[in-house]
Amino acid sequence: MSEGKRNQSGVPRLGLKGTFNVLWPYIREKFLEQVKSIWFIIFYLCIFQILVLKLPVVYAAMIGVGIFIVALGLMFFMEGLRLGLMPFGETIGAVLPRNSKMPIILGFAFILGMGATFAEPAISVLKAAGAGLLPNQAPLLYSLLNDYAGQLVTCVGAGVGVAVMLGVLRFFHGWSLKTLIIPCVCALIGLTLWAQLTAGVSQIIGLAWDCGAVTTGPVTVPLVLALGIGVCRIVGGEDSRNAGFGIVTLASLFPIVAVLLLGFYHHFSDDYYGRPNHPVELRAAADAKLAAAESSAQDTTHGTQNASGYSKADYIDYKTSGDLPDDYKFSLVGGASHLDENGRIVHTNAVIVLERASPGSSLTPNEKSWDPDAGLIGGLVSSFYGALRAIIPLCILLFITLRVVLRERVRQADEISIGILFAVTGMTLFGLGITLGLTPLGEQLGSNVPAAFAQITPWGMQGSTGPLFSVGFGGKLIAIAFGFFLGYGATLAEPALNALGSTVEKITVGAFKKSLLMQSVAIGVACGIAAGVLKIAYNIPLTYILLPPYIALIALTLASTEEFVNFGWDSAGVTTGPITVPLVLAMGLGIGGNVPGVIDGFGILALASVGPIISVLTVGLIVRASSSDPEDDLSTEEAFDE
Amino acid sequence: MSNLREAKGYSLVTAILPRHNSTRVIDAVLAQGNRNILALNARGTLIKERWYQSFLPVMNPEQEVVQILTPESEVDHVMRQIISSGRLQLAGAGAIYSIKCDNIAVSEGYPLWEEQDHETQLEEKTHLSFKKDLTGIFCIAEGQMTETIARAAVQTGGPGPTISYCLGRGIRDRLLLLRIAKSAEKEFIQTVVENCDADPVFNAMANAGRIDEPGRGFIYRVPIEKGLNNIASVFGMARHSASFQQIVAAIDDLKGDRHWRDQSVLDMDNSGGGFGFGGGKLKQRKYLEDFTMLTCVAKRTATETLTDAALSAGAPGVSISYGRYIESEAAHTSAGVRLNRERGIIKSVLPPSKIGPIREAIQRAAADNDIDELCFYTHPVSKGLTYLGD
Repeated sequence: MSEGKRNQSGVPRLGLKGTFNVLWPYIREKFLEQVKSIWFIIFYLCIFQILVLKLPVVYAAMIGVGIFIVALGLMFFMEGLRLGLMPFGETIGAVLPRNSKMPIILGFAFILGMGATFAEPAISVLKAAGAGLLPNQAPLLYSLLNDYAGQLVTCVGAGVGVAVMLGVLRFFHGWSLKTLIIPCVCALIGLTLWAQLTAGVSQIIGLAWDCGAVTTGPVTVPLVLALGIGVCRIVGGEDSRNAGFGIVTLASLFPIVAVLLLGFYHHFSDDYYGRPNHPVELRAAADAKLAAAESSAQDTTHGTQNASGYSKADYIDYKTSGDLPDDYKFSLVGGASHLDENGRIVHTNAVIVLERASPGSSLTPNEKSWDPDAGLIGGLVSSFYGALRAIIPLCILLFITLRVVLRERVRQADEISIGILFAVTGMTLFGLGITLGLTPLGEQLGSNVPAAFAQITPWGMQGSTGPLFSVGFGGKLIAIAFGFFLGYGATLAEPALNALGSTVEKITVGAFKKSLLMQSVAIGVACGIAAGVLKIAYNIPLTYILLPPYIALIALTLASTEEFVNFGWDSAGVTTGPITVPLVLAMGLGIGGNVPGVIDGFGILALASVGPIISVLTVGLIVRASSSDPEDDLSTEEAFDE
Repeated sequence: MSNLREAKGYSLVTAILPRHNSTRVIDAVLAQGNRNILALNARGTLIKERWYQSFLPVMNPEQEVVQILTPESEVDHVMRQIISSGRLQLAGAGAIYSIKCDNIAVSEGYPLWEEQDHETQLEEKTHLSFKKDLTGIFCIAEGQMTETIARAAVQTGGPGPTISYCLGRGIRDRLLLLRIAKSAEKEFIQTVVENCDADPVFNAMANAGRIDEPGRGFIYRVPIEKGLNNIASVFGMARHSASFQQIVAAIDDLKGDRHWRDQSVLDMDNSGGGFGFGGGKLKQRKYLEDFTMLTCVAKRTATETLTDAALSAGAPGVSISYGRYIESEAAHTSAGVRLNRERGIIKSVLPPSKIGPIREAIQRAAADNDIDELCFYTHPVSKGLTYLGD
């Protein structure tokens, strides 16, 4: 045939224009895909800042550039996953069960899980939530985050390692995910209750649950998913075809157990801050920090007293120049007034008091459109190292396993190399974009939201504003609503969830659409974060707000099909990634700082991961109830026959 | 490589089963001695009848496509066995059909079904006759087009098309590294219709997918030996006392045939295409006629090598799908879970003259790379359509 002959002569000569014609639609489509996933959160944050809080966006140009870079980075990263990381993981998963013995497989799984935890920078993120924490407020929490940070990371790593191991073992034995989840959740509920009732240990509940939510990041999730899918392609009968999932779930439950146990260990060996066995040199460091914090606290209280009025400098300025300040409002104290015959009000013997006009109008917005401290080159270099650290060691581990242990050739090596290159490029740009764009925007909003119910100094500005609502309840409601939509928008932009959605769609051959999964997850996260804001705004102990949903989850899990249990629980581990975490933490700390008694920002992330499980399982039940089940048709027809 | 065993008189039996009873069917078939089955995941078509349904979370029904290469004498027995174990005679339960293969060739290591003796109980129990005048319509297209194509098929009378994934290879591989810009993932749509419906459904699907434009895909028709199609095409809400497909089946019964469903009267395709808008000349379609489908089944790991060989030997385009290869005597893990082997199915529609050279090229590649399990079969393609250049 003619069309066969024309094409068979090998590589077509495309030329520059031809190459462009092939590449342009591809780049445009992929870029627009990412724009679609992040526009909502960006648009929402800006609108909220400008219309609801009535504040301008500080560093607007920098944020704009940063967001463009985020979209670019996401585009490269997702392509990198599709071309490089996922095929690589899947190949290993499919080759491993046939070519090696069980101990090697399990050992590989453990190392993969452990390595992934060390590679993902998630744990360091959590430190930010405890940044303002003082040793005397929550001694055990302080010690775990500072003195025993190494142990904490190792514990979480070991938890993830065991989880991946168990997840792979599950595929070989064909265990149902329910049989693993339910005992695990029961144990967790028990441990949490025990911790709640043990004075001292209750402080770390938030940390423990957040560790579980944070461990699985955008590199680990796709790799582990691909590995599971590869294994399940080979192993298992017909019922396990939707498996391949489940590892992520276990990887977000086990670290919680590990961290709680670590807390109990230190509790019983009495070696945290303020306890007899606390090492002397660590105590000295903590005391030094405490002293520094106290002196700076005095400074700030001194500063805030003057924030709403005139400072000494203003006064001296007024005395020397004789000019009145621009923004005064004056009032008369004492004296008497009467209406004279010329129709004038005359006030005699009064004291004239000059005050700053109103706290709100004294606001001097930061005019700068670019944060002078944000270095473009420095940010690029540090996010490049972060990306290398997250991706390259794992790839080397996979490569060595494939070549040395399994003795397999890497297929499509050029495509996979390009994919890995894309993934590194993408993560670098993504990291830079987050530093330039999303973090400043999120921090601004997060610290400005309390303006709804308290008087604050807006982020990056001088002066103060708020409260917008005189009743605390209304203002806090606004903050909760803000948290809801923040969670919704940020979740839709998460790269790991995008990867999970595509994988689910691919595995079910399109029967379960990606958009359905992402929307249900986003709504679940939104509810979870709203609950988290409620927790912080009213300082409710995490246990009381976390355990009831988990108990409800056990019932839901039992009622759901295996398929939805897999999707639902996995999506919980996936939701809290590089976009959600900084936004949510900034908001949690901002709100917590304005509520007396709140000392840390932990717990919101844990709530953000219980929400999606509930929503996805509920959607699963609705789907089953609303779509006609062919089995019902069969049974009715049989009834007719008999 | 001369150690291929040639055989004649085989048929390819394909069953489309809903997910929830495919296991039962596969187990029933495997229980009959040393047998093997190739299973592919697929999804059914979902048509939302009412506008508000697009706001409800609905899932496309999951299906499984099961393929069995079987000697002609076995065809009836196997098909009846699948029908009785999967209860395919019921409306909306699934479909089964067989395609007569011209010839098949297998390597030494490739297990083939042998003829067996059967008691004839099954025939008596399921007193049903297969339809003879059927045509299979198969279409490969980009993922975003499949819903449109499937909808067009349903609206012209084709019962619920089944969609599965496949990889499209051909032009993409000639772009070197630029190939990353073209996704290889395509979707494969199959539907079985009465002969009288074949032309309108074929044309409607081709129009909907704009198959005759460059790079859109490929559509072809295959004559079917016999079959039964009770697949559900409309999944409505569960509150009706009888489902849509039960009602249709009841009218079929009353009428005695399915011609009442024939909607070709309404088909505008041959009547001039529009009422003078645009004024462009109606493009005459050039169909590929009397071509042959060459199918090669091998281990999944070998498919890439073999595909490369086929492409460099001059195959214009091939599609690859992956399936689980289920054997009754398979390896097991220590825990007793079956270890399945994966197979890749390489398909290419070729003019008959090219079949020989391409098969030889694939065999050479297999010999060079120590690929020991190989199976070829061919069956006729009565009509095909794709972009043929201007």
